[in-house]
Amino acid sequence: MSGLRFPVSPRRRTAVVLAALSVLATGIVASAPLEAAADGGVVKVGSEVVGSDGKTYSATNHLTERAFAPTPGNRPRKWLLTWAGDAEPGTGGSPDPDFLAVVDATPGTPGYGRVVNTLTLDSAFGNEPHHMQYMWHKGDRVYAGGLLSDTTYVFDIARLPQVRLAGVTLPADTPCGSAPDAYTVLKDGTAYATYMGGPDVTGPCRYTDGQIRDGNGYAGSPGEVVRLDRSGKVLAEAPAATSTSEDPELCVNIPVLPKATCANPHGIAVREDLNRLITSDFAEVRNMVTPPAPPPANVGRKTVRIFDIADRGRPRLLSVSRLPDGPRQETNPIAEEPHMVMETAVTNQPHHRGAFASTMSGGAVFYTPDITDPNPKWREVFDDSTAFKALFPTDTPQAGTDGGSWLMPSPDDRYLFHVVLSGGLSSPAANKEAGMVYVLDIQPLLAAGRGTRCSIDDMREVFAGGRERDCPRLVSALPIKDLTSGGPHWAAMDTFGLDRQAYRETQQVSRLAVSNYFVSSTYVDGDHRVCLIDVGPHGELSLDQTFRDENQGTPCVGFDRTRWPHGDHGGARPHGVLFAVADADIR
Amino acid sequence: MYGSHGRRHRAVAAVAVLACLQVLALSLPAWADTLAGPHGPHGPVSPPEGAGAVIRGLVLVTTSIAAGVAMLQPVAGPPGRHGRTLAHAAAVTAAAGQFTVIVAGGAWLVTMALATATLALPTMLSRPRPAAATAVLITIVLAAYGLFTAARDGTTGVSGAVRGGAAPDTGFQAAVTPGAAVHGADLGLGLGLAVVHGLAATVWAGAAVYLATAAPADRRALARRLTPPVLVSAAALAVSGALWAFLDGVRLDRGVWSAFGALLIVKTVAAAGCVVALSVFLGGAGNRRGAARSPAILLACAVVAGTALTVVPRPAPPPVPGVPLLGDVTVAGHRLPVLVAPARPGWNLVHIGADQASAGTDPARLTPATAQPGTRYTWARIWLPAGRSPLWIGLRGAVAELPVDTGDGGAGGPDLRGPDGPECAHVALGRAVAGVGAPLRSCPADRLTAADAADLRAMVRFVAARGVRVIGLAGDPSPRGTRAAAEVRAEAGRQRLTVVAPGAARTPVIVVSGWAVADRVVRDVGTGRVAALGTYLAPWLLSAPLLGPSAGQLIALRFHPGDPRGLSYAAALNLRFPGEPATAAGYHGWSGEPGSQAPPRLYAASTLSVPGHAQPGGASGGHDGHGGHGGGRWLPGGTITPITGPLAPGPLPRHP
Repeated sequence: MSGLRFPVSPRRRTAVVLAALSVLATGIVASAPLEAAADGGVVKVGSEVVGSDGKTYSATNHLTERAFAPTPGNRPRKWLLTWAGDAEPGTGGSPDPDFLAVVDATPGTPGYGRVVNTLTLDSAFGNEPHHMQYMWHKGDRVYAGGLLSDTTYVFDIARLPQVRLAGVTLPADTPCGSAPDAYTVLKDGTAYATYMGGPDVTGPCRYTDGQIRDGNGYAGSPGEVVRLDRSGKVLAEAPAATSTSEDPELCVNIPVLPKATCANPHGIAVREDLNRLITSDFAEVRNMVTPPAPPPANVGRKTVRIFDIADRGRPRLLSVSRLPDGPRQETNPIAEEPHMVMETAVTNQPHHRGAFASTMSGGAVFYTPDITDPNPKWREVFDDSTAFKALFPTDTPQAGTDGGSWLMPSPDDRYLFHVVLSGGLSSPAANKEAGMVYVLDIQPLLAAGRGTRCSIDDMREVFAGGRERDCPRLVSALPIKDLTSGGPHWAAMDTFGLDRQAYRETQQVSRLAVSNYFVSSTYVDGDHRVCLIDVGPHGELSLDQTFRDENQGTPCVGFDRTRWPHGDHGGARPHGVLFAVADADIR
Repeated sequence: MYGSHGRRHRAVAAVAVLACLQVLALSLPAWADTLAGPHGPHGPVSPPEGAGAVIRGLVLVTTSIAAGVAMLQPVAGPPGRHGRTLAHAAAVTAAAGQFTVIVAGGAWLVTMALATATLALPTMLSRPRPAAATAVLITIVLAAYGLFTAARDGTTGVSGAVRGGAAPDTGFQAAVTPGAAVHGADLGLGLGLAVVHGLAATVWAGAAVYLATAAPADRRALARRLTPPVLVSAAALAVSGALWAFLDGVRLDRGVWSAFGALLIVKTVAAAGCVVALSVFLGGAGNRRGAARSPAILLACAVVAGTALTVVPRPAPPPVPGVPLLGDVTVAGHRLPVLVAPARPGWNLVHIGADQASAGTDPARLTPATAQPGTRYTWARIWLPAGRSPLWIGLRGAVAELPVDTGDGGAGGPDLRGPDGPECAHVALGRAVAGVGAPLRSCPADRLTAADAADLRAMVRFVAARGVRVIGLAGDPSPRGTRAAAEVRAEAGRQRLTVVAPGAARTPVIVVSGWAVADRVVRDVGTGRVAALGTYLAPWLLSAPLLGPSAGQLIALRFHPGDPRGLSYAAALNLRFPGEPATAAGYHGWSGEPGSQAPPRLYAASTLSVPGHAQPGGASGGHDGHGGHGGGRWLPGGTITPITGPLAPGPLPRHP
């Protein structure tokens, strides 16, 4: 015997050897450009704009083969745009790019749930991608904010899944405001944006209409409303603060301002037919934590602002209205119902004039029946506790500090959708990570018009819903468990219906997209998943089990992944989401 | 005579088992010292990644055996039955180990190619030359790939050959990353060493197998045939090994007694002993059986020791006399970064990456390290003698030694005992992070640079352009502070501004002091004790502790902290001294650039947070705890954003 031998013929052995050598050679050749291999089949298309500072800002599409793959029956495709920030720096601390991910959101197609394109921002890093507009309509550009970079990016999505960078609004373009938050697009394609934070430089700032307000600086107070054109050029900066002082006890400013202000607008909604713009005040964001003392409760705001936009270029502040306190008696004052008005939303139908507001720290939903009223009155119409109780009869999570977030009525004004980040800080441990999405039937409330009677006045109504007949009724609630410090925060409605090989906007909501992420630098993060939720004809919610991560195979698309169309850049944080369709595919 | 086949099988098996056990045993001390090595994570010492190290060692040994047999076949002739058996077993083991690497997330294409080629090697032995060529190729690829992954993981010392000149972008990966500041010579040296050493070691492994498995009658002739390649590879091993060890910081006076050094000694002695034993055997002296077996055993020992060297961390480099030291100690279960500056005889500043730590030259009488305004962690002023001495670091009742060397007692360094000491130490820290070993001769507070003076003047003009008529000025008595205040006053005079002390009047406050006074000013503005229309910080005050309090901070800078270069510094600092704030002083020390020709722009700084949500490290201005969340950024939990174009001579933003 002469040792081990493989029972193969010399010829076959030679073939094996040659095969092995070829594999080895391939390995050697491939070892250096592994990134290039990861890029296989990816088509790169760049675009750039010149900012007001004279610098060129560029973005690059990374389109995968799936972006061009045909669909069954040549069905046109819907896309889910997801505005995501890099989660971890790359090799040697070099920054990885933030990006707009284009996800195939066409049910029943092989590419469903696949990230088919990532548009990377190549010139500015660490933007902390935040919100885009709430709804996209045919012909609209996409406005996307960088919370930390104080920058707005404008994207042309006419040729989806390809995207073009069409504009950039730099910090110096909005000297009277900082920390851009949310956007709403007008019929003429321009957009209003809320800039939550104060002027770049402490002191007086002159707005485009000539008014002057005194601010305490970047990410302080007061914020502003900005109007942008389709290329991101600033058409107007309008003060959100009154010319006189607001209640200094209610409106804590650090450092203190000569005229106290609660103007830190976050949510934004517009009714062009009523010439009204409405914003909700969130908080003086940079002063949430002020060492060594804990933050005063009233850095979180309780107010809503309504503007007259008859002159679209000169939004004029009409009213500052305060949300009422509710029946809950919280040991932590910041958990009281009206604290931190993150979102506001308007009704859509011409015969409705009401608006809603929801609080992030207070965990409640408020309503006012007429935003044309010069002195609008708000009433609490729903407490998140009711939805929590329906989902978790025992160990019910607390609504106080539950992170009530995205809020939108359906275009037909039948339903109100609301996303809640997690159980409040005092929640039982068993269900503390219970974020959720719930749906309210708001038809009786809106039908009551100015005569609405609904009001959450006692603890029974907190957990069981309002007694009055016009109070919103809980239709459905879907828990979204997120074991991180955060949870579901932002969402978007899909109202696109297929009509003879093209989409058209409808009044009904067929799906919601929900992203599980807030802002990591605030220590409220998320598991970085984007889920789709089916909305039944009667408003019932169910998780779309077929919208699956292409790597994990589990429901929801995870952004904690290694590989992207633009390379192996690791995890990302998805915040803003938006359904959209290529121009050619929508009527 | 060796006797029956059974005895031979047992001998072969024993050699293989012993080799594996030896790898395991020799690797064990390294686990306790953490495989992350001196550049690994700080904080609580992590459990060892023992399985990975063993697999890596096993892959190297077995691949060397399989490749070594194939490589020497043209010289030594076909191996015997036991040699082939061993080569087959080694190839299968190596391939299995390589597949495990794929499962663990290694570069699958390279590893798959290596595994396939290694598996094919024994079957190729019937064609000696192709087999030898394949073996050489496998060895080169494995050596290069091992260098690549080891450098990326920071686990072994070969990367030192690259890292030596790679600062500020450290590591092999940086070297192969386009745009990294690495010289091709460094890259070539590292690769060259790895390949030469790998090939030489493989020759030895093959020789060991041949000698151990040859029939006794053939052994002497075989040894003669193997002598030339073994001697050549011995020379190659010696030269490349010595250079390798030198680059890894091993010196006769330090590092020898570490696990790494011990292995190095074992390898050297075994290699030298093998050459001697081979000479004895070939000369016919000594007991024939014993003389025949000795070279093989010693060869195996050398190969195994050499393999084990790749899985143990190299020792920390010895302190360079008179050069600020950035070291690590493991105390009370925590690995702490420690900075000693200026590392000259006399008073030194010792900065420890922990709260409630202490330091001193007598472990029984340690000086508590205390927090300093405008800084993180703790600082202690310690008198160090000339030359080498132990510095003791204490934490929670435990102590650990950090050797320091202050040099010969010649010209002393700057006195860091004052309020500007931490800023000066940050220059040294930046240099140390960059791998630049230069004595600390002066401090930023010693003088006002022309660039900083220009930035201050531009800032005053910016304020004046906003229509302000009165400004507040906060300075300190340092040479820089005095000169800076004069610059501000002079420019204010030209702009017809009145300069007052910060106080009740709501004016822009320009801060030209060092960190300590600036820390007080921003806190006073944040709490309302000082009224301010914004706090304008001098460029050297770029540091997270000074940007966290809510004071409307604005700072004139000539570089964007969010640009790739700025972020690379912050990330490198966080890797080496987790949680330590990135600072202007540190950045200039790291980059080697005292200033930039770019025009200054005004940046706004702010943190963001949400009330009620717990933060690691407590409420600290949006900062995280120690190097965790947000680490590697200039302002964790916040932003430093340019809000103007170039301040001068460019246009100024509109004002009310």
